[in-house]
Amino acid sequence: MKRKRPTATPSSTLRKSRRTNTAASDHGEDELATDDSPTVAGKLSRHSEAHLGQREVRSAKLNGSANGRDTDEEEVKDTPRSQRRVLFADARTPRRGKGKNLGPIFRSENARSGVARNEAGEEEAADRGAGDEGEEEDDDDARFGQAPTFVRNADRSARRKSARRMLAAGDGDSDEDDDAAEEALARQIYASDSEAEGEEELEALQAAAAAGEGDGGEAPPAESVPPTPSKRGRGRPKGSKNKKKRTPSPPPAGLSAQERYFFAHRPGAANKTSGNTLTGVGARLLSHDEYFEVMRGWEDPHLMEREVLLRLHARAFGQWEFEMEQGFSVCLYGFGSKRGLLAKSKATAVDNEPQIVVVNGYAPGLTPRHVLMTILSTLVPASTLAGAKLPAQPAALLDLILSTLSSSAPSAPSTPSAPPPLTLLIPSLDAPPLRRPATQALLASLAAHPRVRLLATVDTPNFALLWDQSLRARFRWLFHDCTTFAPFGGVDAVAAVDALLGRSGRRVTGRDGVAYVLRSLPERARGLFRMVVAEQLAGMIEAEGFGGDEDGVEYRVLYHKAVEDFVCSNEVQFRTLLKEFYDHQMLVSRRDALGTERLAVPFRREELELLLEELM
Amino acid sequence: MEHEVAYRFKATQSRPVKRRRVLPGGLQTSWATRKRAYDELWPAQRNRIQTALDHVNHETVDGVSHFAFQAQDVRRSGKVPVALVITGSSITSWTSFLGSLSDRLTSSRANLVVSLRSGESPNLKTLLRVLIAKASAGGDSGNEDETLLHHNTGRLLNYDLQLLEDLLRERATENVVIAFEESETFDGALLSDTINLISSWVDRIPFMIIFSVATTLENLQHRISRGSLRHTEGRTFSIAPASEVLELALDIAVRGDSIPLWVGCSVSNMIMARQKDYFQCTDLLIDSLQYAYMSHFYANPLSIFLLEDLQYAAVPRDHFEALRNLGSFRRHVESILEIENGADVVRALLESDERLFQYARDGVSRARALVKGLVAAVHLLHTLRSHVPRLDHITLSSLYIRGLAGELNLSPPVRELLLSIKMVPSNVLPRLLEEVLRHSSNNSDLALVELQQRLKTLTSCRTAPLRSHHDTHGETIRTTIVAQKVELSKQKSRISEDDSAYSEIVDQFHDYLERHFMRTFLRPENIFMHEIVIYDLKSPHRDVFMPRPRFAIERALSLPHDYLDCSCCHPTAGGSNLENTLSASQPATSILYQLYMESGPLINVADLWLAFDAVVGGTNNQEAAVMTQFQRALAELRYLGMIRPSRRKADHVTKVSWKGL
Repeated sequence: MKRKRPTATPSSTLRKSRRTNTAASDHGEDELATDDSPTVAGKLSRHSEAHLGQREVRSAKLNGSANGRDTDEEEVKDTPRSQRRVLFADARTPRRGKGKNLGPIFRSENARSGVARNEAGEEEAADRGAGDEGEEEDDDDARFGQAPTFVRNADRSARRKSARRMLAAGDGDSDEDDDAAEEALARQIYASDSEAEGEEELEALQAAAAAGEGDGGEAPPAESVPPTPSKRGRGRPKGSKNKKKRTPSPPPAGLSAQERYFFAHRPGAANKTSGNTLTGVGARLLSHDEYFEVMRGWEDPHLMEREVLLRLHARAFGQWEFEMEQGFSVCLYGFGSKRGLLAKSKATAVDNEPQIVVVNGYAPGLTPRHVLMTILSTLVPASTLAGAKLPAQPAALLDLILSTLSSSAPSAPSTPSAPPPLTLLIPSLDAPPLRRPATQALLASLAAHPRVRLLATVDTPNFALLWDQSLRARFRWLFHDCTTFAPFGGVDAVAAVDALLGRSGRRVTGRDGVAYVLRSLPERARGLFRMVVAEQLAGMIEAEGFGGDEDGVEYRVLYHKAVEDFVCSNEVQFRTLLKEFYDHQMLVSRRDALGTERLAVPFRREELELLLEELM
Repeated sequence: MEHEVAYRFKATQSRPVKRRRVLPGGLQTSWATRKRAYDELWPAQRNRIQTALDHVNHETVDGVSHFAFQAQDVRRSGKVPVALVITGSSITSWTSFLGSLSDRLTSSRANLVVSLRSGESPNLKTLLRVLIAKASAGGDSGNEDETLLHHNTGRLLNYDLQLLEDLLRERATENVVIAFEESETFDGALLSDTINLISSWVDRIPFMIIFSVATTLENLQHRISRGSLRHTEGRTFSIAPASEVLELALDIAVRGDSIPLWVGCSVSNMIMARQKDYFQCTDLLIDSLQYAYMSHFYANPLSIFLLEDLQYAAVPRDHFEALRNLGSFRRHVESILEIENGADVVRALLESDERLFQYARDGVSRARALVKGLVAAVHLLHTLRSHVPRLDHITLSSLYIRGLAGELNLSPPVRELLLSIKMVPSNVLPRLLEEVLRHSSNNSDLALVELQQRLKTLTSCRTAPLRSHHDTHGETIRTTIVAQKVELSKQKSRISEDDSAYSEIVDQFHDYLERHFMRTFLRPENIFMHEIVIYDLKSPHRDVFMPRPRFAIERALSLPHDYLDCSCCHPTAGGSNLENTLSASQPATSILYQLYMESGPLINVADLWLAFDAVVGGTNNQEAAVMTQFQRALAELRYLGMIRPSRRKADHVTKVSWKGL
């Protein structure tokens, strides 16, 4: 990131020799200084919010010339996009990419590009401003992504000891043989880090040793006394030692998974993310039409490999068949849609098992009754089914199915005259429509029947939580890893992302749509809606400082407010007004953690603001 | 069709598929024969285990049913008879227990058993409704309409116990047994209310209650009100602890004359560890054993030799080649070569399939005998240890696992036993001798019988037990102080003639046992053909029963090359450096996941997009294409439950899943 000084230039040695005393005497401080960002500018920005903007302001102030920086900014915009960015909540190395403020979430390892030059210049200016000569500027980038502080400290300490050892040996005082080995080790440790700083330290130590030797007879010379801070001329602001030391932002390497979790959730870990928004960075989410248009032309570069995977899994069909025949249920897990695999399996299994029922777990409208009715219609001819009065309850229906299965199956199931088994194929058994415990219990009772074979797939990693011990015993699962990498069929990417980012309102009616609906409603309804929007916005603003995650207006609060404002006089009227909003999906009602009903307009804050403006 | 909710798959294209179907080739050709072997061998084993397990709780079933038959006396005093069955941790065996109990109760006499769970009966009203529904279905479900008609006249609500009374009036039921499964899960107040209500009906409906108690009786008692308790009269029963049942099941599965296949030490260790760590359930144990059999017969072509009536013609040629490549065959052949004329035998085995067939058949039966002897010796060791006083209890399963690992010979459990046997008094020794004799059913051990005879004559006229000279009880330690120094001297008390005769017997017995254990505790991997009679592959077993789905998904996403094995995503560029595994050629979800892994608990999607764009977006300006991939990847991460929306900041999502946790 910054100038990389060749360690052996005469100027640097000069500088080093000048500050040998300093380094030797105040090692502790020195160490602190080298821990984090060694530059003054870095330190300054550390104290600030470390946002680039603020830093810019600061350096501009120090510089006294903001203009020069602006021209640099122009240059930055041309920075090629080939930078490698790493996503990380890093509050220390603000960077710009593509001329935009990436904010502290990103750290980018730039080539020595315009940005680098720019920042170096900036820092130099800052250095000057703080009265620092800008020495000991170790490459900041080199320090990044390195071992965490404590490891580095330990290394440094080891190196210092080694240096001392080498010096002692060099003095010729010790001439024991076994020292040679230790000496070699010391050299090795020392050489393991060839940072310039290390050499500086060595020099400093040499100076210190020289001073120490000197004091054998006479009092140490005045120069070897630790110089006053003013003399050392390095720009740590006073009192900075008392500041809380920042932990290095990349999580220390070699942490176990749980340690990493607690590292991310440690108290005081300001989980800082930038204030960027998708619209802000010029990204536009695609609509369904655009999405599918691109997808139609898209070809997966890994199609071949996926085929190989599929073929690999297909080789186990015979095994699965055997397992199902033995009364086990087969459950396929792993990343990627396994629907293609199931389709393939039923194509091969077709000649000896004509009774196959497919239940698409991911289909949104799926109910247990659907499943049961389909099974029943497979078992019983349609003619008999038509006249029969079927029970309405799924449980009763299940009993009917089980008794039908048992009655048509003779006692010895292995005899050739036995009716064929009923195979249930359930893609996405863990999909939301089937997740209810009652539904799973129902399927388990089906699977427990000797004539029913179950082949299911699951997609989420936590599917095992669906079943308790007794359910699992009834299912008799055998699990197989079937990673396919195929795109999940039941996922509507556009809708999912919209829902994820709280933009569902965008598609239901949109802001214009809401305005249109409101126009056709009476004044009182408009007033009520305005009230909801205003309250919700107020709540959002309040929650921002508060950190709450709850939005919307409490039902009770809104009702009382409406009565106060004479929008309505009783709850029935109030409900009638709300119903219109519900119908147009302009308002959603949900229950919060405490169970109180909250009403919210499903729009983002910006849109709500615009909406309120229009309504006023 | 694929977006339909549920449908019946119509086999329209079945014909061409059938024609294209290829027969399995290679070693899999014998699968049909092996399947036959499996079908013959496993069900027999399963029945053996099942019958043994059914008898485990025999006594408890007897006790409870006896209590039920006498329950009328209790009811006459206006109280509700309650059977408290203490299950301890073996809740899972409750189902089988209740099954055999209800079989017993309903087979001979008119009893009605209704099992209730807390899930289906959250309050009194529902509980009664479920009770009545189950009771009416449990009897004869045929005349449902009739009962409907019957109580329609009375206009009764469906949770009125009057319904039940009407129902039972025609049947002359002796007991209506209500079994509360896992009584701990029921609300205490609900239990109290139920008892109160039932006690008021006890004069009309012959109720009886069974509670399964997993914790303690006191706990149950505390939760039921004192008033309700006054209406009950209970008796406690207990069913066998799950760990004992498991030990028994494993013992049955591995010890006996007809065992065709043994599970090796690593698989059985896995099975038992799983039972210990997660849940104890005999069904699961049987499933695991069954899967071991299945895997062996499905995946090991040589398991064909386990078929009893195997004919030479039924074995495909390539199976013999496989046999010759077997590790234990090679070792065996090498050992034969050292014997005189060994080379001829080996040549015959290598050249003639027919000769090899016979040899392999013999080898398998020999291997069976050896493993059988090993298992029997393990059992003997266990029994002897339990008879000798002051020896630690070691479970049979752990001994079995060690035995099959080949670790038992000269191991501490054996040495401990042998040492203690030297000191055993004469009142214990006869039992040990008896056990050993029963164990070695082939009467070849005349020496043992003679030993028994001698012991009998020796002890017949004595009341006090004889001691062997190894017993330290016979030693006294003398302390003498000579010139202010303490001198210790051991002195054996005088040993009587009988004692020395007894010592001789003990020594002989000890030597016999030592020899026996030396002979039987072989290393299974040294047994010729052990691959056929012992199944010991961890690989499919663990993943099939204990999958690690999170690990699989995380691995697929963070190291897609592991699965895809493509040339483009090979992580060679950066060696083992984690950061360098990211590359533009990887699947979009995988790239996004790796970026996601680097983030904190809150993620800015805009920044995520920028990072994603920087990785994926090459030189060409296809913003829409990249965005498509991004959206799909984001949607898939959400589908996998790894992110969820956050309202803290605009365009932010919350990280839910942490790798490796």
